[in-house]
Amino acid sequence: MSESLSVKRFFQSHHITLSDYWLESCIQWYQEENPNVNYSIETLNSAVYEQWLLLDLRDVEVPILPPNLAQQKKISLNNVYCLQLLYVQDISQPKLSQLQKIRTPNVLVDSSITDQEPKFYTGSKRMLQMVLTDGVQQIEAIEYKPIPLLKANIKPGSKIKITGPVQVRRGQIMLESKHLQLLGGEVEEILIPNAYENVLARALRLPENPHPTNVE
Amino acid sequence: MHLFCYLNVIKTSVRILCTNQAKPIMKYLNVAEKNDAAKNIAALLSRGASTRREGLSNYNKIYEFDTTIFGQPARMVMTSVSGHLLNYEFVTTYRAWQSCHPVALFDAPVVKQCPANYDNIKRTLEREIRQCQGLIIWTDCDREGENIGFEVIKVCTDIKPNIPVYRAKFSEITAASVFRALNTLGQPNKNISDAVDVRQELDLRTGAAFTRLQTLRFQKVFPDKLSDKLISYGSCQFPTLGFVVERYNAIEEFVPEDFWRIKMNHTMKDLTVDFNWKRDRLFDKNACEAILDICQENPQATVEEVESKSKSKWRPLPLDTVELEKTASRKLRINAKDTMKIAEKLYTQGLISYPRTETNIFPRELNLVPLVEQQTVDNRWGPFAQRVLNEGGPNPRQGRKSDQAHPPIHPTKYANNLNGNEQRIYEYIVRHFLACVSKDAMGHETVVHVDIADEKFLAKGLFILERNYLDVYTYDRWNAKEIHEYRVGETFMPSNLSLAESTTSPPKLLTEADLIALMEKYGIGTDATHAEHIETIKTREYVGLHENIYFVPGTLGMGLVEGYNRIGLEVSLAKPNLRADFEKDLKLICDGHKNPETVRREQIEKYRAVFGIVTERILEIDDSLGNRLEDRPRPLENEAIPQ
Ligand SMILES: [Mg+2]
Repeated sequence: MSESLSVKRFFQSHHITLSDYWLESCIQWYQEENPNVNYSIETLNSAVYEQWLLLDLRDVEVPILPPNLAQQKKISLNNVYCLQLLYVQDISQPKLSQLQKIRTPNVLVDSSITDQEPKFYTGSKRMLQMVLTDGVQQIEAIEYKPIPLLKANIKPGSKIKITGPVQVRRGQIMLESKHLQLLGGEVEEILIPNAYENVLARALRLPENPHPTNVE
Repeated sequence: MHLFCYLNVIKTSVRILCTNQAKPIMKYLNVAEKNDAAKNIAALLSRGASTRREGLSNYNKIYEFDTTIFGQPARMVMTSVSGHLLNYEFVTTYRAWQSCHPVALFDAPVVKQCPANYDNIKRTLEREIRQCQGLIIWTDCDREGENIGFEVIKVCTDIKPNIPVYRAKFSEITAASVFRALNTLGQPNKNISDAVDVRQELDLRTGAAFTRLQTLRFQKVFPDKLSDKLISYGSCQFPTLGFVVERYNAIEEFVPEDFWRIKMNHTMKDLTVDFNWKRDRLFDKNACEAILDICQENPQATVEEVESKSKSKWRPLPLDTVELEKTASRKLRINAKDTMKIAEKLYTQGLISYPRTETNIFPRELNLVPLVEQQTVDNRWGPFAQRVLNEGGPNPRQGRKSDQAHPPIHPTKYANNLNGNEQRIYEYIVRHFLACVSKDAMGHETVVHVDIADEKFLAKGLFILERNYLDVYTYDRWNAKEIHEYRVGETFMPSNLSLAESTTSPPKLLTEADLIALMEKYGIGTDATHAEHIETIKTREYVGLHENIYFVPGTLGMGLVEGYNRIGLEVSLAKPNLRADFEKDLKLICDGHKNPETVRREQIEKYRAVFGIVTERILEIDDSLGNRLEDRPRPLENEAIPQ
């Protein structure tokens, strides 16, 4: 069995569909980097997997999501999908107050006046929205039910695994904890522009930060 | 100490007795803070039998009467000052603006002296004390009053070094209170007076140094805009201005954002109950619609929980100064400065207790019954006062703050001859008093939790059982809200289940009440001075009023604050930190926990260091000012202050 076929099988067993061209060049690159080394197939698998975690799926364009997903009013995804996160945002609060909390955490005098009308609600819960891609299609996924392992500081370009069946409504994947697994990784080119702080700033048409602050 | 003075007094008077062969009548000089106070205290102590004569100052009369002190008959001479009698000033060589570099003002010698227009008052005291064998201080019982007392003592002991001195302590100008003060004369409190001295000296040095720096420089840098402008600085004014600018900037920088929510209600028998979505709102239309779709596919609502509980609306806490200022500003639309002026007048007339207090706990020994009884004759709130008595009251709600000097503000006498704002403030103080000694309003609240396709909604109903304090406290509202009777497990179809769109709105400009709340929260000034500082930034035109209610910064005020903030927020004169630290130290001096000289030295050093940073980086303030004034800074030599 050729090396590329066995690596491909390994990835398939993890529900990851690869472009043959990218796979070949990745193996070739590995061999050039490690001349005269006797490596096992497991070593090669994990080397290629590490590269895939850092890959921008939009550079290889292997569609795995059903076409026109964003236009579907209601549909179910029944397979397993490994996708790339472009960025994440919290849609339960105004972007401006989120950005101020990041940019001026202590400096601002809290001039919210103490004796305002009491709030009806005990505080709204976080709802993260992830913008995802399979490399071809862009799609949104919302934290329909709380997903504790998902954090606002997840790195742009991270790879995630979504396991169906899961509902898609109006182009939103309605995520619950059971659907989501974080695989890790990042995409260097979008680390800065898609950092949490800069996504907020861009949406508000405010200047972006070349050294964005890490959020918790 | 007390007894010793007393014996001294006797000895002196015995000598007088021997020479004059008359009754041993001791003569005491009594000094109040204002003429009105002197007049009313004299009237009460003499039971209306005092005689009046002129002093050297037209405004400060002298009242004489007989009374008994320490069990002995005594002749009382009662007069007054007009607030502070002495002032800190730099020695003459530093007074001219060009006489020195402003930084020298942190060390320049200062003297405490009597300004020319108060010289008549001082000379009255000097003349009268010669005839007296004792001095009794009747100035207001607060920090400033204690310091004014020591100013009087200084003037009098310069003439008669060993004269015994006593302090009368009172919180209201009523017969009971002034007689109690006279029967329990104590000693003035040096710590409190020392704190005021340190504050005054620091205010003089920092005020003069930064005012000269700002004025001398910015007049030259912006000759077209500021050439004849005094650009004053005050360590309370600037943080106060800072609050106004900060809020204004928050509004300027505000970006509105659309949001959506799921609206649900249930109409039955002409009553519509609105339910609120527990997620409240989402800032993404698609996401909100997606969830609405889920609800609309299975719209039947199931009642999951019905909470039923008694709910009370609390009567107000006993009234302190900050609360008085805030409520008068909010509900009566009378600003803090006017409110305090009126309150002081009501106090000197004996109608209310001392209006400068931080206390919101009624002391146990204060009998509230007669105070409530006095009000029963009124046809507006009299029946309520009667009800308080009939229902086993008064029963004050108690706060947690006490300044150990004055009780909460309360009416001391019934009045029905007041007009205009005086009447409105008096009425508010009476209604507040009656409210805080009555009972909380009682109600019954129902909270219904329902589920639609896993989304949670809730509605609240309120049934008012007893209005209690709300019957007299017309400034509060509590609205009943009808709701259907729901049972757990019951289901219903929503009458409306739809998407509602809305937009976030910017914060509001600050009102005076907001500004006072911020000053209190961040320790700028004291309850006695909030109104003054707000007034100062208005007079300096650092801020103006929009629609007569909302504070907006002027361009000069904006530029200054932004400039100082740019230099560094920790050292910014427009931020509350520096002043708040200072106020904390002053409190420590009052309580005897910190030496006034130490505080004085440390605080001077702190502000001198800030002065250094400001002069080094003054170009940044030029720049910020230029932005706001829309003027290009005139380049100057390297010196911060042009020669
Ligand atoms: Mg006073």
